[in-house]
Amino acid sequence: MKSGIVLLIFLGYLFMATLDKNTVKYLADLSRIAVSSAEEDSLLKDLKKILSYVEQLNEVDTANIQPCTYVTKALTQTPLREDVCETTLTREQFLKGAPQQIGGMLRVPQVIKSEP
Amino acid sequence: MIHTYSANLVHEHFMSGKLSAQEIVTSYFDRIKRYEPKVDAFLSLSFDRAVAKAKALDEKRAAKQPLGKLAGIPVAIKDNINVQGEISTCSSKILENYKAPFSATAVNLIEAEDAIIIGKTNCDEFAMGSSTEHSAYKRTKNPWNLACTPGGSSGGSAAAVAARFCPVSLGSDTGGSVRQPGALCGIAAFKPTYGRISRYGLVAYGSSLDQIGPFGTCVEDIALMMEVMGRHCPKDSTSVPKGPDEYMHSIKQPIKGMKIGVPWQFLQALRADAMKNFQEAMKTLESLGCQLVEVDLSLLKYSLPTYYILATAEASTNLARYDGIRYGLRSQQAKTLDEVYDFTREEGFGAEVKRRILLGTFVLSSGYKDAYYKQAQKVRALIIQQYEKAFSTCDIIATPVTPNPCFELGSIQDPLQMYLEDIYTIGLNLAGLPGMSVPSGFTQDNKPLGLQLIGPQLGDVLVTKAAYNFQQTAAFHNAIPDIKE
Repeated sequence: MKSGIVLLIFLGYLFMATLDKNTVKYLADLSRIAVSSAEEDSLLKDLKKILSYVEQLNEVDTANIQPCTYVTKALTQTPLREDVCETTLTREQFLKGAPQQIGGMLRVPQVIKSEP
Repeated sequence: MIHTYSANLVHEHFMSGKLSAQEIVTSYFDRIKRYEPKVDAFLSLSFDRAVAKAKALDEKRAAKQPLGKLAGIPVAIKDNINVQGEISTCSSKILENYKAPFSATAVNLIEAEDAIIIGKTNCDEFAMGSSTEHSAYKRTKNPWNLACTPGGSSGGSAAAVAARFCPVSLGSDTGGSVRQPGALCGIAAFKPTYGRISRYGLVAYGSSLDQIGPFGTCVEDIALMMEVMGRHCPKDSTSVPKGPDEYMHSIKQPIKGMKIGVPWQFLQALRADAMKNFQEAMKTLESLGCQLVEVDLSLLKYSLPTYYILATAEASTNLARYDGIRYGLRSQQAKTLDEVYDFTREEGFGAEVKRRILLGTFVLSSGYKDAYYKQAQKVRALIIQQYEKAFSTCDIIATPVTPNPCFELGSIQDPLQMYLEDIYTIGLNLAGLPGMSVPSGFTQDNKPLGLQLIGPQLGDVLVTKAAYNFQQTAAFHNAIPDIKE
């Protein structure tokens, strides 16, 4: 199992070596946040620091340990309720919070291109 | 004078007819008017709502109709907990002007028992922070020292109670966000067992860690709030299927013979004055007939890295819903659908939220998930096991709440250093345990310190009982900050 820990540490170093502005750009793209290049620098600096800190978890021997899925001992599985309809929010109540709406629906910029 | 009363006493005086609900509300709003410009605890005040409720309560009492357990008690609510019809920004620009279309279960429960909601309080954006400085709107000040932060993320709710703008308030605790500001503001603050208070209507940050918790000037007020809010809710699939607990009688029983576990080894790095304060608190518990035993919680040194992987992973998922389409802000610059997402989230989220979303996205991304996320879930399982082992030799565990007393606004700029402020509180969230922060004294420069009492899962009443007994002997809860006008 030692080899597993070694592998994890290796992966950690591998990442540390590759964490650069492109990684930040990639993460920002996955997160759908348009990050300015000034922000990229400070995010890169912070993420590097935080990641090197959290990598100390690789010291812990977790061989044969099942990852935690349920925290509450009183609940060992997700309780299921009866599948019955109930009235929650009305369309009007829901739309009140939306930034743009049209004809009782959410409004978004055109997604499908019109025929040339 | 009313502002010096506990919630229990306010309720008692309302029920006996000594005070009208309108007198109570007017008195607290007068105080808010006077001191809120110094403290900045609130993002919005609901004066009309509060007065209407007070009037209705006075009429109900005059007509001898039944009244709730919280009748006449003003309550402030953290801005990430929904109150129907009120603005709920989570201190984020992305939810500026967003009005909650429904109330959280906890809010419904306290309103059904005739509590009076007076406003929404400032916090770190989406509850991500330990100083309330990550709010997009204002900086809340600590009523004990206006140059200092109240802690966070529920800093507004803690400061509101410490300043006696209301006797009780609600916050949320994902890594210490109720207990830490409670300690830094010198009041009682409680994070219940995970699943004891419904999360329905609490805006999600780290769903496996989040828990609503009450603040009060004394432990009896926490107990009163827990009797009302601590019950099963079918709208939260992680809600514990158990009816409410009885607190008010149970907590007043003596704690003679209780075994208190202390992880001395984990506390070695504590600064001298905080250590001395903690040792005095242990002597107080011994004088009440408790027996101290040493417990091994050495794995807690990994609780912070574990937390910052799991909480950010969950946050990156939970905050995906802020898309500029369904609620809140939409960027004015956006012309395409992609730009609606990208620009809205760029403009709407603050720096700390972006950091955590990116970190969470990274630890869940292909190629890194096993090394970071899965490893963290395994360490979490080990931390839970270590707590369980500790509880096989003791009834409750005691630690300080924070390594330091309240710190000056702007003094901590490094995110990692800020995270370290939660070193003693975060383990409880990972293991779903209940924990009370109870005032344990002051530093030489008059900054409050707190003692944390921790119970096993569903040991909420046990923890509250130990905290009540400690409070009655230590008696630091009676001090009220003198806010300079």
